[in-house]
Amino acid sequence: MSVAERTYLYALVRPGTIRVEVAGILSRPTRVVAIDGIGAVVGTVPADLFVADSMESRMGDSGWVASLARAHDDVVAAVTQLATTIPLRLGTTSDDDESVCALLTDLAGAATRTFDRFEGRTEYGVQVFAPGHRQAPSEGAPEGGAAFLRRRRAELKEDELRRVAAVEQAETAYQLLADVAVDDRRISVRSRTSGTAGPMVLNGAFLVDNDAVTSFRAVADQLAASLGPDRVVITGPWAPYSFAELDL
Amino acid sequence: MTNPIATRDASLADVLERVLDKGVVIAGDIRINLLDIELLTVRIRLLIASVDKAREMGIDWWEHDPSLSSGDRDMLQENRELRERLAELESSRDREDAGQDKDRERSR
Repeated sequence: MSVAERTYLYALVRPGTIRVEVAGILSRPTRVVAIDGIGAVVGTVPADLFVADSMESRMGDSGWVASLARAHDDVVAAVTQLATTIPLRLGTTSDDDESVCALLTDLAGAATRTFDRFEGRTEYGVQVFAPGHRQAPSEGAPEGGAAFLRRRRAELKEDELRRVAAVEQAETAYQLLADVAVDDRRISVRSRTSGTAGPMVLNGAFLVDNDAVTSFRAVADQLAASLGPDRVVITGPWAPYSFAELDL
Repeated sequence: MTNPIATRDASLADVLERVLDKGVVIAGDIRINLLDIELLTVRIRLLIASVDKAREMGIDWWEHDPSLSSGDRDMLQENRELRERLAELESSRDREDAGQDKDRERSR
């Protein structure tokens, strides 16, 4: 490998004997570097892929980061089908394959514990949204200033009640889902909406036994049915990104 | 049969949330050296670019990420405050309802 290239790491896998055929970043091929039963899914990338000078020319292209992230996740998602997978951060690179082997040797203990935790399990995301805004009141007789203020105050209080109630509902939902999952995490709530629903009030990640996926989805379905349209969104299956605490 | 639950294909926002969440460091270069192996050479400029992109999509977890601070405590605190506020609002609504009932009775 020339010095102009580096080894990009997508994920750690067990067993390290899998064959990967998915293309990665820059549509480049991927391969597995394995040692003692665990492997790193890697690809060769230009050394300047993330270097400032070349990034400057790419900064205007908001799709650049998006395409990197997609390519990274495509590889991680593909290997998740073949082996127990520890997804790595976007942008993890190493000097060369030899360094990757050294890394795998150093990490063997921690990686094995994490593989044990992930084996036969999959991550799902569940987002809960507040109810959407009520219908605007129908045009009635013109109201006086005092009546308007009274109505407005009542509406604001209703909004607040609705938000507080939605947070409570989301907490209950989270607990019900967590009961079916083997592990759970709160991801920060984002300022996104879903269909006719209001703002997101809960963003949860759940590590689910593959045997329990049906029951997990059933719980999510029940929540969706009881909370109303667009208020519950499930994402996944994901590689266990939110539970990968193996810190490199 | 329609499924009441909304299942999306992984949207870019969802992918970025997971793929970048592990890697985001706002201050300085991400250059982690571990036993002479240089990892994570994503530079701050990449992050700025991605941060802008992410913000466009409403991802701004790094600004108030509970896992990055004493946020778990904050969340518990917030939950407690919300519960208290809910109780307060509900009791004041009950009082008002009761008051309105009296008004109605009086006007009858």
